[in-house]
Amino acid sequence: MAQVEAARLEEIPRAAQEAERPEQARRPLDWRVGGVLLGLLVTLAVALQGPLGVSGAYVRAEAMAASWLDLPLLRDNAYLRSFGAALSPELLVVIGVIGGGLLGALLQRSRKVDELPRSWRQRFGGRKAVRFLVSFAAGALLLFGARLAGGCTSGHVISGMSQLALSGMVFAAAVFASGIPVALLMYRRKP
Amino acid sequence: MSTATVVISLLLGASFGFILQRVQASSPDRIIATLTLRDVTILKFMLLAIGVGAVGIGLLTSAGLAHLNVKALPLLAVAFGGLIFGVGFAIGGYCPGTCLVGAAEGRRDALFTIGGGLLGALVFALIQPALADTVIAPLDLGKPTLATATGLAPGAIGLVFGVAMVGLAFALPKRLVGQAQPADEPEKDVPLRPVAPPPAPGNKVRQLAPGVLLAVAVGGVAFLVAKKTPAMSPLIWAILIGAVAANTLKMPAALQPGITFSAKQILRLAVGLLGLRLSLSQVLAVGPAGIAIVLAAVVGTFLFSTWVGRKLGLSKSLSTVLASGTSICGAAAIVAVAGVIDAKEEETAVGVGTVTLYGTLAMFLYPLLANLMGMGADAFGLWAGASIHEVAQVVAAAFAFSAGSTSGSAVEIATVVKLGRVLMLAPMAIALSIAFRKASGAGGGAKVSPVPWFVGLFIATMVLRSLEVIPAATVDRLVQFDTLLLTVAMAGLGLDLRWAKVKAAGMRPLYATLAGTLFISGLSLAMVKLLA
Repeated sequence: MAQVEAARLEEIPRAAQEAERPEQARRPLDWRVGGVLLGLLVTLAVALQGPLGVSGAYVRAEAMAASWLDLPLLRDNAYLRSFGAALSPELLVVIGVIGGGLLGALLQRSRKVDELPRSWRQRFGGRKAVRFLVSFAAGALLLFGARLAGGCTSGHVISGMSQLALSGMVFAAAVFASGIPVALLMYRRKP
Repeated sequence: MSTATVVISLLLGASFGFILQRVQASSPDRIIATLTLRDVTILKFMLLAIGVGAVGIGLLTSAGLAHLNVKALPLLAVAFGGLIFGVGFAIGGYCPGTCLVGAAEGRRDALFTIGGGLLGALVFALIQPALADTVIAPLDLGKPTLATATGLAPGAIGLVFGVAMVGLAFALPKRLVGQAQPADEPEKDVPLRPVAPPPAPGNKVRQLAPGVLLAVAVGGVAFLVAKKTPAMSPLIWAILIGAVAANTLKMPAALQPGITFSAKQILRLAVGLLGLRLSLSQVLAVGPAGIAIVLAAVVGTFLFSTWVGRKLGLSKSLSTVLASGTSICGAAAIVAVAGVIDAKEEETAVGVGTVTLYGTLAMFLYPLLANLMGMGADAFGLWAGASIHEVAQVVAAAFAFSAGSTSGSAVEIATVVKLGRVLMLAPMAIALSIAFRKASGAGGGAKVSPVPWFVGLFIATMVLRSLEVIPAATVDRLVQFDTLLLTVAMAGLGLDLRWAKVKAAGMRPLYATLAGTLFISGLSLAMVKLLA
């Protein structure tokens, strides 16, 4: 009896919450399950063909586009040329990532996502243009940094550290060394 | 590129994207919560993935099966790149992989992040020649790993590093700053089963008989089924059959006293007689290295598992029960320790279930892993004996490793080492009995001896067996009788099990035992490599 009542009490705010913030009503997969699965996946990838990585695919996509459009860029730029213009496993992995993300979203009961992240709205209000501009700048910093370092969260941190690579550990340390203070400055909640 | 490569790449990527979507790593709010240290779940997720991956890849590497691709460490470029990446990570809340998933989920800011990413990558490509000499080439340290830097075997250091990462993932509190929110998962105490009627004074035998007879009947069925399935012991069948019966059929209340008696008193007697299986001279034959490994594995795993259990919010008694099963000897240790510390019946049953599950997995996986690592028979015997949960599972794994031959040194060593762990049951039970008595307050039970009667019986039967005063045939008969008692006791435990109570414990005991299992496995493997 007590349980039924408790459930009923919980129901009202949750329904209201769902209407207002569709995303928060969803529960994520338990991190322990997700972590073990991702660890096994990384192992499987190394067993089958090689570690997973994402950021290199951005460059390769550009090299492919340059080659297809026959831009002089590819001929002139040794870095792009070193990636080559052929379809590679790395690019296929990235296409798979998009497909897997789509599948995950489609299989969900509530498919709505927040138009703007909640933490952003609380600090900077609801103007979309500002968020989109900042997102664009953030993306540019991400990939510039990742290419300079030679990898990103997937390749350097998850796959790299799993292979005991010191480069992954240095990268992870640097990412958190700048990421944590910047996030605290930008998003810290007012008491 | 072959078709297989195409399919494999797409599938690997899709699984990756699916996992990221499901743990909501693609939500900028979750990334920002991690970086502002309000809720570091995503960091714990990453650490756990790295830990599991490091163990897995370490094993692959020692088996020569890994397709490694270690990234270079031009120190300046990696450090500066990481710092720049961190700024983008923090202000946007995406990384290059999660923004792809976010865009697939329909997040528009993720699309803009991808656009910016393409620009950032292009800018880098254009100025890369200028950076090559100034930032990338100086301080290029090659491709060091923990293995090349320390000179240790990649398999061993992968295990150590992986276990450390897993431990860190679990040890890290969810919230690192600010005040805690009200606990989101309050401890539940589910009073679902009507309390057994108080035993009326009078004929005790008539009260107990129905339930005990039912437990004996279930135990008998379990024995028969186990004859057909050599991989599963009658103990497991008894608890399974009992639990299914209890949760599908309506049990008359008259059975309850006998069922409780089987699950408590008969169990203690059976545990007391376990000592008959142990001969000290056999146990001491493992030698000093073996004894050191056994001691370290049992004590270290017990402490680690209890700690993980408490961290996961399990009750003190359930953590202790799980830790005993993982570190000493599976189901028998669980019921013995549960009796000493007065754990609840459902905690005992949950413990037996989870520890059996992982022990069974280990029984199948150990021979495979050992072959991958190219382990010798003696090393395998030490490893399996020091870390697999049940005696039966240890023996089965060793048989499988020596390809079915009973005479292999792996089987002998594994059994003896395992018996050494069983021996630790007596001191552990006594220590726990004292510890729990102190914790529950010195008042009241001052009359109770710190050595429960069945632990005394265990030591006595062990001494009798070691002195070799009982004829071997009689010992065999008694051991069979003891197995029968254990089976009946397990049937009682199963019959007493209510699914709702198990569900109340949730997945946490599974995680706690998994952590303990990985720990004892990794620790003993490392020690076997070092000492033997």
